[in-house]
This record gives sequence, C-alpha cells and structure tokens, in this order.
Amino acid sequence: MRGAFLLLSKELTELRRSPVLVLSMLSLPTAMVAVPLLLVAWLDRAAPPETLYWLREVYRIDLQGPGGLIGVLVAAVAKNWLPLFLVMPVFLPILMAAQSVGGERERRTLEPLLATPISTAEIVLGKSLAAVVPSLAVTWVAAALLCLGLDLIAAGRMGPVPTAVSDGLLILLAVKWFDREALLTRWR
Amino acid sequence: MPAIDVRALSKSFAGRRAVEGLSFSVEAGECFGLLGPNGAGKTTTLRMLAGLFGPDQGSATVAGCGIRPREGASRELRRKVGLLTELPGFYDRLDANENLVHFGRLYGLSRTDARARSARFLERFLLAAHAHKPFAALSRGMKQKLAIARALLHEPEVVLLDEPTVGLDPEATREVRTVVGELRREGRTIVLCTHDLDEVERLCARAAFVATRLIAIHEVAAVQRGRVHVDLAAPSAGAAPALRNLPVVREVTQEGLRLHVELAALDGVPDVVAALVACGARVAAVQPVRDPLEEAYMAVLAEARGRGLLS
Repeated sequence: MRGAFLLLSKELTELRRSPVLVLSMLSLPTAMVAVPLLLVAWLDRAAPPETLYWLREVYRIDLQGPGGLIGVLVAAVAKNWLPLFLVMPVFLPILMAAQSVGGERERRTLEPLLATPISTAEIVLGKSLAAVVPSLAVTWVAAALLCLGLDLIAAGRMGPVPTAVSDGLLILLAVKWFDREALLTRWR
Repeated sequence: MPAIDVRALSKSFAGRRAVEGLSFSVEAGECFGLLGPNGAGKTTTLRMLAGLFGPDQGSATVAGCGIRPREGASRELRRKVGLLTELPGFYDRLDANENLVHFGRLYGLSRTDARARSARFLERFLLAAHAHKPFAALSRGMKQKLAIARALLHEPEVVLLDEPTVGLDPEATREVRTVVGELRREGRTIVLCTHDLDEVERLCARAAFVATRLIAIHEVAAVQRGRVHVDLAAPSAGAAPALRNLPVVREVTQEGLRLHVELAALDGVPDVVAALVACGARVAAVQPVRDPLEEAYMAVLAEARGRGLLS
C-alpha cells in the first residue's frame, strides 16, 4: 500500500505542474457548468416565446409551475443535465490513465519503476488512484459549482430560497462550512 | 560463493530466442563485462538478473536471491540490486532531487533517509548545483549520472549497468567512467553491459562474450604467456644474438629499436635485461604483451557467425 500512495503523491505533483493536462482535464467540467448556467440565465431573461413554447412541448413542462419560469428552468436543468455529470468520472480517468501509463513508457520510466521493490498490485493501485481521485474531485466541485450557479441565478429572482436539488447535493458534498445564505445576501 | 551465479538461463520473446543456455558467474567485488553485438541478449540477461522478468528455463542466484522460471522476482532481490537502464528514465516535471527522493522511497527508504542520501549522491556526482532543476533541463551526462545515483541510492550489493556511456560526449563519458571506477574500488559487484571494448579494458577484470548464448569468457588485459617487448634506447647489433643464447628465450625478432621476445616464462625477464646490459645495449623499457580485447572480440564474433548464432 505504501508504494501505491507514493505513486499517487508523485502523480498529483506531476499533474499540478502540467498546465496542458490541467487545462484538458478542466475543459469538459467547465463546459458542463457554463453551458447550463448561461442557458438558464438567457432563457430566464431574454428567451423568445418560440423557444419557451418549444421547451414546453419537448420537455413537457409547465412554465407557470411553482417558482415561476426560473423555478421551472432550474428544475428542468437539474433533472436533465445533472445526470450528465456521471459521464465525467468515466471520461476523466481515461484521460488521466492514458497520460500516466503511456507517459511511463514514453519517458522510459517503466523499467526503473519495475526494478524497485514495489509490487505490481501497488503500481496498479497507485495508477488507478491517481486517475480516479482528481477526476472525482473535479466532478464534485463542478457539480457543486453548477448548483451554486443555479442558486445564484434563481436567488436573483426568488430571493435566497435554496433549490431542493442544489441543497441535496451540497449536503452530500458536506460543505457545511460554506455559508450560502450569506453569500447570496452579499451577492444581491 | 559468487555474487552472481547464472546457470543455463534461457528466455524467448514471441518464439524468438533472446538468451539460450547462458551460464557464468561473477565473484563478489568483481567488475564483470558483458560483451556482444546488438540483439545478443545482454540487456535481456541484465533484466532477468534485476528481477524485471523471469527466465523460461535455467536459474540464477544474485546476492543470495534465487531467480527461477515462473516465479516472480522477490522484493529482496530488487532491494539488493541496482539497475542502470539504457536510457535514464526520470520524470520530467520533477527536479533532480525530487526524482531521487521518489525512487529512494520506492526502494523502501524513509523520507528523511531518502532526502539525506539524495543530497549525498548529488554532492558526490557534482550535481548539487543542479538539484532543483527540472530533469528535462539537465544535460545528457548529468541525466546519466543521476541514473547511476538512483541505482546506488539504496546501497545495493550488486550493480547492473546497461550501456552506461552510450550516446555521451567524451567529457560525460569520462565522468561516468570515473564514477564506475570508484564503484569498483569500493568493492561493489558490477556487471557492465557495453559495446565499448575500451571501457571493458579499463574497468573489467573479465568479460563474457555473449551472442544469445555464452561463447567465451575472456580475461581482460591478460598477459600473453611469456611474450614481452623490449624497447632499446639506441640501435644495438648484438642485442638479438645475445638473447638467442639464453636458455629461457625461445624466439627473438627485431623491428628497429623494438625486440619481440618469446620466453619460456615471464620470470626470465631479469635474465633478458642482464644479457642486454652485458652486451652493451641500452634498455629503455620492457613491456609484457597483452592480449588485445578487440582481436579476441572479432575472433569470437567470427566463431559465433560460423556456428549460426549471429546473422
């Protein structure tokens, strides 16, 4: 196990020092957060009636439901967009693992690594953790940012009333230290 | 008991024999050369001895640890062996010191120990000023010295060096040879795998000629039995006849100021010098004739090709 954590630590150090890898790793989460937020903000403020009609027909939602238009839009995003975050913990580890394992071969570090007394299981575990841990962290942070963004947009219209979806996620994330109400109050 | 004892080691890759029935032994504290053309199985042999993979057949003992077919190499073996790979192989985004500390910890050292040893080896190999440079920013010679430092970081009993000076400029080559020479003087058991015959002549006492299987073991710098060159300081017509009269001398030929003398035994050299002085010749130097490694290598290659071991 010690060898696995040594490899994990080294991989995270290398990741921090690789702007290209960090950027490629953050591009998908950034898009996953920015696109729905911009979409909701635009729909709420400037969407033409044809678009709202189309939304109502395709998603079969009542645009006059609880919370008004913004409440309905946030609920629709929560329902249709948040499941896409399940893709990230699949996609990002592939990117990380390809870089990590392929990089060992490319840099000819695999042979010196195999010559050390750590076991194959430790190498596999270390590499797996190095692929999964940053990916999960990025996914959770991105999901939290989306929820926070939706809250901020909704709060502009509804006051600091938390949406059920974002509250649930934030509780799951255990970010109790984050005083969301205070932030929303300051924001306004 | 030898530090390395290799018995009938064989290894194939995808049906192609890389090593076949290879046997040799290396005494503790010996610097042993492994010579052979490209594809002769030298690197494969080193990798098996380092525990990277097991043989298909045969066995070996390295620093008391057994290597057998279908058995994974023990951690103990890897702790006792230091391997210098053909290319340095470090992480570009870590600096020289971080790389050494990382590998030191993988070899089981504590963080404090790994840091202390890294600092010591960087100092020893004149790399201390470059300790915090990224690996990618180091010169080829520095990278190679760093790789040697990694191979020694855990104080291995046996050091396996695969082409330590390949691709280096003359200055870096000299530095690396100096380091290997120091290791030899420290009494470490070294296996030096190289194409460079001059390197073997400088560093090794014995060398094995390998072409898939062992062809010969050569005593490096072995004195040819009873042959000496005598260099005269001035021409002397009576020198060669005077030597022919000595019972210890079998044959004498002269080329200018140099006499080629074949003796019954090397202990006849004082008689030769005395006879030359008695006949008025001025002796500048007497040198035993050494067996040239290059000649032996070429002869072995020719023999290997004759036996169909090389294309």
